[in-house]
Amino acid sequence: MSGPSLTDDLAGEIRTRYRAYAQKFIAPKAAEADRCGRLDPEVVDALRCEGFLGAPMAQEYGGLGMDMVSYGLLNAEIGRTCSSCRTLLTVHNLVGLTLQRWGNPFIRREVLPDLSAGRKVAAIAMSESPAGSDISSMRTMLSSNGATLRLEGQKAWTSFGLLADWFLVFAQSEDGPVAVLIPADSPGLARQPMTAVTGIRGNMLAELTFQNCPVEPQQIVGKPGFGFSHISTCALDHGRYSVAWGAVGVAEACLSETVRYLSERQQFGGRMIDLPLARASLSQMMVKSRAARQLCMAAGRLRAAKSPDALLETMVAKYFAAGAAAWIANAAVRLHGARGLSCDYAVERFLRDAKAMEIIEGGEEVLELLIAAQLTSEVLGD
Amino acid sequence: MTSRAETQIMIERMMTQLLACGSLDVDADIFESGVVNSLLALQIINRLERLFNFEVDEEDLERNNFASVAKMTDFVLRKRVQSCPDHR
Repeated sequence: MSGPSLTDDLAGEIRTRYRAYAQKFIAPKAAEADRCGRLDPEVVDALRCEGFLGAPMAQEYGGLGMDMVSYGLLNAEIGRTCSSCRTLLTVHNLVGLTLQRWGNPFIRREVLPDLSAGRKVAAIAMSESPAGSDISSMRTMLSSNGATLRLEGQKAWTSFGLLADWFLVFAQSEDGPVAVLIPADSPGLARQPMTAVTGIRGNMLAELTFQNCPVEPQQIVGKPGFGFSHISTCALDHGRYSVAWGAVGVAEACLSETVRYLSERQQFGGRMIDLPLARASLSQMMVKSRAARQLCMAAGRLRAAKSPDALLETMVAKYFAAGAAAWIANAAVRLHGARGLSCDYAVERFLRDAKAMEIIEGGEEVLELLIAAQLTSEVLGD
Repeated sequence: MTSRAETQIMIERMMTQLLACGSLDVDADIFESGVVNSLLALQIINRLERLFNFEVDEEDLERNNFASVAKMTDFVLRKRVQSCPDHR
């Protein structure tokens, strides 16, 4: 489905459809993904069969060509049930959309069709142990040895690094920062699992090591020198949009779980939901959740219209939605009392996932720097 | 079709807004000035695309195309010629 925007009625219908899909195929395996640290292959197949791996990618490459608002709604409904599964959508599609924007003819011909149809999975390899938000300090290096290009270095925190068939890897080079597309079976590439993380535990994190890994010029995405400024910015922008909507899903799931729990829980001679303090908390949770959804919807409509303002509004949406989800999940755990700390209650997982979402794709402080710079430009540039 | 002078004025206005400055030397290298971060670099492309209704392709990613207002003007004019039906 393409087009600049959706009516509210149609968005509501799509949301209902995605919710039913997520409840049927994703929700039953969500707690297991968290517990086992991996997504069940049946869940990945369920995404693939529906075309959701590659949902926003163009139909000419075999994607669904889903408009940006629908794609956001999909992220919210999948994120509502399982943040690990939503993360697969995030990383796969952020790579796919970045290649669709900046990929050369070889990549468009040989890689994009497989990614768009979900036959292959892609992940992004950006963070390094010494280089997180400060990507300019990364040490992974693409160097030329005669006619051959070689990649050397280590990447950490690569979501779905254990599953991916292709990696969009960022590195330094003689000509400046560069992005290269590396197949998982490339000689010199080794991957190790990273475990014992707090949240989004099913995202099959890996540490990648590149040792004398051969790279053909056609594997370079964009041009050397533009790796950080254009390729990574484009990729992170798509990632933020997906995470922002995923945070909306977590926030709304926390609200539903908490309302159900408080409706059944009897304390002080009545239902907890009738206690004024519980109602006050629920109201605050709901208002934050609704505001997050509205910001994501606004960003989605700007993206659908290809507005230059979409970059900033996506950052604003991610900043608010991730913060709201963490706040709401924290309140949900508190209102559940001791049960909120038990893995038998989903809010315990939601809180851990929400904390991770505050950090990934631009932490709060990093986004504050960028948003404030944009505000300055807007006010003083007029 | 807008003239070169008009195109340059449009780009200059766009850049003074983005850089939040009152005026800009059209030949000044914006990358050497250090004021262009990665977000701004992508915004420049997005705004040029919107302003002049074309798409910046992978092969257009050359520093020289975006280094100054004057170079962006040259680039926009070249893209216009390329998208002209007679050119194909």
